[in-house]
Amino acid sequence: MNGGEVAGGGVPGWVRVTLVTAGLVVLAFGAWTALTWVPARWWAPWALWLAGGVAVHDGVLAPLIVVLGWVVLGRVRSPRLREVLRGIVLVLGTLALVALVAVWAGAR
Amino acid sequence: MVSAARRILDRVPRPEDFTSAVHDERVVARVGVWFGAAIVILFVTGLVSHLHQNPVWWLPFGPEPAWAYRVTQGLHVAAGFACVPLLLAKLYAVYPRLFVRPVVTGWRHGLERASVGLLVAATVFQVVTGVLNVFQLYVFGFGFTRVHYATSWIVFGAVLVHVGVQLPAVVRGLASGGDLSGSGVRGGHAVPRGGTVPQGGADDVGPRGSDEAQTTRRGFLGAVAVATLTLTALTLGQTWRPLRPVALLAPRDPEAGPQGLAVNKTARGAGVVEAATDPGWALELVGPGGAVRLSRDDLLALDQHEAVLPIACVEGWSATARWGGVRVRDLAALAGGRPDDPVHVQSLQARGSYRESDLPGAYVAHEDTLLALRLDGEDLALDHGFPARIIAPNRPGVLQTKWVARLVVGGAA
Repeated sequence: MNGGEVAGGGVPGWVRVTLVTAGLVVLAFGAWTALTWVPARWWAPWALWLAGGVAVHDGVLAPLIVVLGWVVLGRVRSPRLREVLRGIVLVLGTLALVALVAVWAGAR
Repeated sequence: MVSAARRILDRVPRPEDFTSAVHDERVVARVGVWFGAAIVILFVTGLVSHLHQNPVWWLPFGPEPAWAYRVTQGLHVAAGFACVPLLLAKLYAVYPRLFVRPVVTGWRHGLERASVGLLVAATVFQVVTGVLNVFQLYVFGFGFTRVHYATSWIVFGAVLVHVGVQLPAVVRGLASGGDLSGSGVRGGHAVPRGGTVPQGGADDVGPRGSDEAQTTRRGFLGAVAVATLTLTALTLGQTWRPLRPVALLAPRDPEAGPQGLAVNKTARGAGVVEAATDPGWALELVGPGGAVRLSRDDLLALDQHEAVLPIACVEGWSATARWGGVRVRDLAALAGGRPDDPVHVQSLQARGSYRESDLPGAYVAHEDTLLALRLDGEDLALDHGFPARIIAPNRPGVLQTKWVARLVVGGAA
């Protein structure tokens, strides 16, 4: 990544290069920590949870919300009402997710 | 085979199909800044907790101020909860970018996409397993603490890379229409003012450059703020007393437990009921002057002190209590050590990662660092560590070792 090339939005190239380089160094430290600090028998379940989280979000949760928006919000004429409905789904959906975990914890 | 794959790919939506103003660059930039701030708080407070439990000589923590760990860890868990709506909102706003075509244009684009994939995987992982962990749902198949620590470096590194790559878009997003008004850009692609708007999008809500789009952007950001503040209000009561009455979603009530104080590990759970209730129990105190055994009555006959100290769990709850017992520095002196010698603490627990802890010299020297025998004027409850436990200021709860069997002063064997 050349400092002169990465212009954009008035951001000096060196700022971006510094951020990306620092990020790569931190990532390398993370990888080293993963290899030396985390026992090898935990790597597989760790990877499974990493991949599983993305899969559940991108493949289930997000499409569900997109379809919900398409089915419901597409039929609402008033923009205000649409935003209120979207807000309700966002707020109650978030609280419901945490409440679900609380119920699960309570059941154990 | 190839044509079948192509047909499937043709049915997958494209970024242009998502026409809602929610996916506007200005929304992405704002949610990103909030989320980024939460990640910085989480990373720093998480490091503090890590360094408490894995001390390094070049950055030692002291016992003052006594409330520090309570605040940093309370903040850590609160910021973690705040990340539930922030992460969902951020991912929803950029979701169309998952479907860019071509999927990869070159090695640089490929690396960038891979770094975003790593970022998403690691942040979702931290938030999900973190929330499960504070609810004590240890269902991971790995030990939480070490994996959470290693993943935090991956999150932080991936965030730095991501901010470096996206900085121009962030600057644009924050600069264009500080009032979130007017037409603009989305998902990294400029949309011309009054430009054509694709029809029939998956979450289509109408023309972008209009007041309607502005309502959408403001409405979405407002909802994210409300969700974040509401969740914080409903959980923070586990560490901040004024919010305790509304702590409906808090994992713990810090005052629910024996003697009005929560317990993470019970005596039964630790497998110490028999040993801790044995009338023949005596503290084994080892130091440069040799080893002595002190019964509970012997300990109660020594100088007693009281300290009002918080117990602050790594899982974010905390509560203050009045502890009574013998100063550890007095015990160090009794064992022939100096009053600022480090002390190694061993529990009656046979197993478990927290059966031992170390009190650095600065902690031993502090007047409020006690081998506690009493809690709020009564004998310690069994679940609080009877017959004796460690309590010290500014220290994670897991290091406040319960059911103490042995104290080793100044590295004596």
